[in-house]
Amino acid sequence: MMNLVVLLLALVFAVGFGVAFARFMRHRPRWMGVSAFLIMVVGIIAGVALGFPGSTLGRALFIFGLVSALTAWTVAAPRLTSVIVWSLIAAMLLPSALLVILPFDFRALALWIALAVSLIWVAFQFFCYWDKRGWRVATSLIAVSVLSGYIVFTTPPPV
Amino acid sequence: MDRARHTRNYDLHSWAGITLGLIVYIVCFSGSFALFDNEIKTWEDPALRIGVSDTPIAMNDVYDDWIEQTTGGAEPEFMRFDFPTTYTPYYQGMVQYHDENDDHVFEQQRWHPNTAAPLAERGGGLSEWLLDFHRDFMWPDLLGGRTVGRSLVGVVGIVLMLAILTGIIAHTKIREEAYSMRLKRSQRLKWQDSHKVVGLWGLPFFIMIAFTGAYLGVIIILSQLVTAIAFKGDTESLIEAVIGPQVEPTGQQVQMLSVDELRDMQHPVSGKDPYMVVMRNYGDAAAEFDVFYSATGSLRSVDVLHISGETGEQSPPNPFREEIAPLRVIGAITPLHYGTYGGIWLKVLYFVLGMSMAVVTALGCMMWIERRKHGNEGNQSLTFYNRLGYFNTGIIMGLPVATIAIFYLDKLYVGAEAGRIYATGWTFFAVWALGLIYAWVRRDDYATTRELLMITGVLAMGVPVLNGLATGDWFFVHLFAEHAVAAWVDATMLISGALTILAGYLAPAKRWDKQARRASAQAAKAAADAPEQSAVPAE
Repeated sequence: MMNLVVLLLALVFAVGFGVAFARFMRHRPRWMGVSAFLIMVVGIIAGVALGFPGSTLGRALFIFGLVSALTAWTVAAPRLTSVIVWSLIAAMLLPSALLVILPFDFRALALWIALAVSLIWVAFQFFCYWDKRGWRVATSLIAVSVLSGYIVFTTPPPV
Repeated sequence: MDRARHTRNYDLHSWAGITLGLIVYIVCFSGSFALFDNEIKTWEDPALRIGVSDTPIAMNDVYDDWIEQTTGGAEPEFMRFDFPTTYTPYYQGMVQYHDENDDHVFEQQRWHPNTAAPLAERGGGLSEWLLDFHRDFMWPDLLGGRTVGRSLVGVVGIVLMLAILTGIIAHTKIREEAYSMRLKRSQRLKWQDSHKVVGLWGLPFFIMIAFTGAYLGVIIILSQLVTAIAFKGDTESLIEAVIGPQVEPTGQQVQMLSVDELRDMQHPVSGKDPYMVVMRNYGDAAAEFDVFYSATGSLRSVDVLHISGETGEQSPPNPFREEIAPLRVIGAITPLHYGTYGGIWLKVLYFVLGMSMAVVTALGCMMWIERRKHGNEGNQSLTFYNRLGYFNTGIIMGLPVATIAIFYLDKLYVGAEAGRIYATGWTFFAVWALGLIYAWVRRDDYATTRELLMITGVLAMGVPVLNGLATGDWFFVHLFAEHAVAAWVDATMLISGALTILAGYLAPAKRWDKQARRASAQAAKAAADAPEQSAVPAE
């Protein structure tokens, strides 16, 4: 039942995402429109893959679909992707990295950071429409996420 | 700030508002009712309108027998016992255990505070719906369950914080705008001024409610994810690092403190009586009880005393239970969000501010559509914006009718208690959908708003009559009685219903644009001139 629900949600997400993207592409070059359609297809494949997580091929397709969709979406609409997706990812990875590297009492730090997560998330979202260039916003948030991810996965757990 | 940046910031404010504004409105409106969860609980269940005797009855044997019968000798995983309070004037026991199929089973029972007679369980309904719809939209299990719903409500808090931040930056003349109400100008300007004035005066409250709401909804889940990422998924080490190691049972059976002894255990500092005890490792030498006391008057959820279940002595100091600064801040979040740190008047203030937040959001959505229907913004057809307007009005004005309608369902419901919550939900959505259909059929946002406001008011004023007819408790008889909570709910409904009818009466019946205002002014002038002309004698 859960698989079916996840599959349905993924399909809804994929179709909605694809339609919105195609609409956004109306006045843009044809190749972008084609890629919008492809993303929709990839999204549906990703949904199917997510619906059957037991299969290795399914997982691979899902990761492929997700990465392609995010890349294409970021290229086409960097600010929108940043405010919806990248700000959230950065807002989760940056506090994790801070938790790993800051030399304070872990319990107190973890609780303070828990309180700060919403503020960091909103600050990142706000930044998405503050900077003049959309690509700079997306690049900065991706860079923060990648750097934080690197710190988290190369440093031993804090306690 | 340069013009392009100002435009981007304004766009973010208006798009954040229009995409999730209606959901913010729903959360704010339902939250205003959720504040009175306890009061409404007493209104809905006549069995709770009990005066608690000063001489408490012995409950320990009753509770022990019930545990024995319910679990059938299985070891309880979790036990809880509640003492009578103003809003919950009964004893209540809860237990969770593993059955023979290794499934978790949860049972609860209520007892009369003066006779210890079992009280019939009443199915969750009105108060549960009002509170949980605000907390998690009653999100169905089919779509991921309550956690998904709770996260969505939390995301609403995040969107609200973003809308507040961009709103503050978008308004460059805050001081002037805080006092600017041009009531004799166009409808849109009135909405715009109301949106700004109410938004600015309520700003500290709105920021607080958005932050605490986001924390209680989504951040509490996200922060667990953040720490789990830092621990690379090793949740066991993470739990041990944050809440400390759990006490394991010794296997040595000992006599526990009775619930009657626990009831008399006053808090060493505040002197208050406990309202709840949670028991771990019950019957074992390592049993520990958490005794909960209300912490009214301070920004804390509760005061908790950790004691040995065998001797009643306080547990030895534990560094994981030290009240460090961030824990105090986190402990203040729930009282701040639900206004439980003061009396009923604080809740009334919260209600007014919560409703004003709903109004600010609704006005924002209405302005967005109005600017596109009658202004220079937007590139869709008028039909599109008209339809959007009907949808917006139907959702906004249908919700109050649906909320009052479930008060009626509560008293008129005749089915099985287990199905009460489903009936409540179906009625709520059906009436809400009717509101939406009404807006589409009426095809006039102004008339729909006015009429649905009046319907809401009339329904609200009928609530005390309904309660009187259904239970025999007429509110004017009980207003100053020992247990007057339900009577005050009735009285509040009567007053707020009258105010809503007044608001509907004062609301404009049609859109007053420049031409209409000019025509009206000319007609008034002509009417004023007419007697003068007729007064001139004919030659």
